[in-house]
Amino acid sequence: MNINWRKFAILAASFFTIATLWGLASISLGESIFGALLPSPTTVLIAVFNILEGRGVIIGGSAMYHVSLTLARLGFGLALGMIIGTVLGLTASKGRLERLLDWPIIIGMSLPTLVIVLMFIAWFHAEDIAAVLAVAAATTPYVTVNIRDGAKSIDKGIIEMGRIYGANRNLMTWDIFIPSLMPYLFSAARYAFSLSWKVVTLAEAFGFSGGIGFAVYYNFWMFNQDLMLAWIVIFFMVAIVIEIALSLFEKHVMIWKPKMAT
Amino acid sequence: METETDLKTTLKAEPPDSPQIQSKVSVRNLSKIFEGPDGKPLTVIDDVSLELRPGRFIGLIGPSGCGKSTLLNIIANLETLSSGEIRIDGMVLKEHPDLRRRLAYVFQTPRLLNWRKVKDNIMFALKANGNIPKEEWDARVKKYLAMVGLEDFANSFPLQLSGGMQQRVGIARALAIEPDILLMDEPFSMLDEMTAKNLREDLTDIWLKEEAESGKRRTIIFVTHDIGEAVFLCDDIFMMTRRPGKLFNYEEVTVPRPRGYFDPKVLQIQSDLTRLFYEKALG
Repeated sequence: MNINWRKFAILAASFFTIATLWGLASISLGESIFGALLPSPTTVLIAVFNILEGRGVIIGGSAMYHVSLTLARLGFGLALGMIIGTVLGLTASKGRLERLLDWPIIIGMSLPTLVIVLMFIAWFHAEDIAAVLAVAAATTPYVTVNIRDGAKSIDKGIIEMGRIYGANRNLMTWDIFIPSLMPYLFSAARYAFSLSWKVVTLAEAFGFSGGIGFAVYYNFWMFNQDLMLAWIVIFFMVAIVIEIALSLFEKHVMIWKPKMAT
Repeated sequence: METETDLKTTLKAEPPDSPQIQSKVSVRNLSKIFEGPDGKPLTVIDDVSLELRPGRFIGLIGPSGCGKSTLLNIIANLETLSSGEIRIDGMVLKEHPDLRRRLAYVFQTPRLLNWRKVKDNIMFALKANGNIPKEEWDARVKKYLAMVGLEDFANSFPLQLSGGMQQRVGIARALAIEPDILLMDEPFSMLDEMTAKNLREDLTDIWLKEEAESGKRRTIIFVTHDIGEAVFLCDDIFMMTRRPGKLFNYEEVTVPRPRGYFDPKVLQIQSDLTRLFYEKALG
C-alpha cells in the first residue's frame, strides 16, 4: 500500500493549526470560578484518555458503553431509514405514488431535527425506540429522494440490452438494477449517516441515561467543560473511523469507475 | 443495378447458392406507425417486404429517420409492428418469442455493464440466453475475446478501454451466444474513421473465419447510413427512402473478399449508389 504523504502532511498541518488556535483562545479567555472558560487542548486530551481508561467522572458506564449505545441506536435507525427510503424511492420512481409522496417528502426534509426528536420522545418517552425511530424518520425523506432519482436515471439502453439477450428478472436485478443504483445508495447513506449523528445525539440529550449525547449534555450541566469537550472529541473520532470505513467500502464497490472523485 | 420492375422478383428470389441453410428472415408488408408529437399518427415504415437470404451480410441503408433502426428493433422483438409480419425460418416471430435466443444485437453505443469486468460482460449474455450449457461458458468467453483481439483485457473494466475496444467487447458479447442472426445498428458510427476501418476489416475476417471453422455462415443484418461502409461489408444492400421508409433499391455486391476501400469496383458501386441515393432517397 502506498501512503499518500502529501495528504498526510496536510492533515497533520490542519490538526496543528486547530490545536494552536484553540490553545491561544484558551489562554486569552482566562478562567472563571469554575475553571478555564475554554479548557486547553492538552487538558481535553488528558480528559479523553481518562474517559477511555475509565478514570474520572463516569456515569452509567464506561466509554465503550456510551459509544456502543449511541452506535446501536444510530445503526438501527439508519438501517430502518435506508430500507424504508429505498422501498419508497423505488416505488416512487414508477407509478402514481410519486405525486402522492411529493408533499410528505418536502415536509419531512424541512422539519427541524429538534421537532422530530421532540415528537418521538413525546410519543415513546426517552426509550431507545424513540431515538431509533427519530433517526429513521429524519433520514427516510433524503434516502427516498436519492433512490427515486437514481432509479429514474438507470440507462434505458442497458435495460434494452438485457432484454434483447433474454436476461430474466434475477439477472436484471443483480447485474443491472442494483449496480446502477449503487452510487445513489452510497450518496444517500453518506448524507443519512451524518444526519443520523445529529438526531441521535440530540435525542440522547433529552432525558436519556446513556449515549454520547447524554454524556456531553450531563457534563455541560455539571460544568465539566473539559469532559464535555473530551466527549465531543471522542464523538469525532468514532465518526471519522466510520466515515473512513464507509469510503473504503465505497471505493471497493465502485472500483470500476475510473478516477473517482474523493 | 436492378430496375424498378425486377426489383420485386429479386427481393423475393431464393438464394441461388445458400451455403447451408441458416435462419431465413422474411419481412412481409411491414408497417410501423407511431403516435407523432402532435398526436397524429406518424408512419415510419411503409409496407416493406424483404426476403433476407441466409448466411449473407445484409446492409440496410437509408437517411436518418427512415425507420431502418426501427425495422431492426422489430426483428429483435424490442418494438412491436403495426401491421405485417416477420418470419424466421417460416415461424412467425410474434408467436415464437423463443426465436429471440437465436438473435444477438450490437448497438450503436457499446451498452456494456461498466460495473462488470470485460469477461463478465460476455458471461452476462451467456447466462441471459438460457440455452447455453454452463460448461461452455468459460471456453466461449476466452474464444470470443481472443477473436476480437481482447484476450489480455478480460479482467479490465469497460471504462478502462477505448471506445473502439468497448465496441469490440460488444461484438464479442454478441458472437459468444453464437447467434444465427447478428443484428448490428450502426455499430461503427460513433468511432473515429481509423478505428471504424479496422473494425470493419476485423468484422469481415471474423465472419469468414467462423464460417471456415463451423461450416456455416451467420446472417448479419447491418444498419448504416454510410454507403461506403455498406459496399465494403455487404453482399446484399437494401436502400430505404426518407420517412415514411419505403424500399427503393436492392443491390448485390459481388466483389470478392478481402475487399479494399480503394478497389475501383468498390468505388464504382459506391458512387453509383450514392448518386441513386441522392436522387431517390433524398430528392
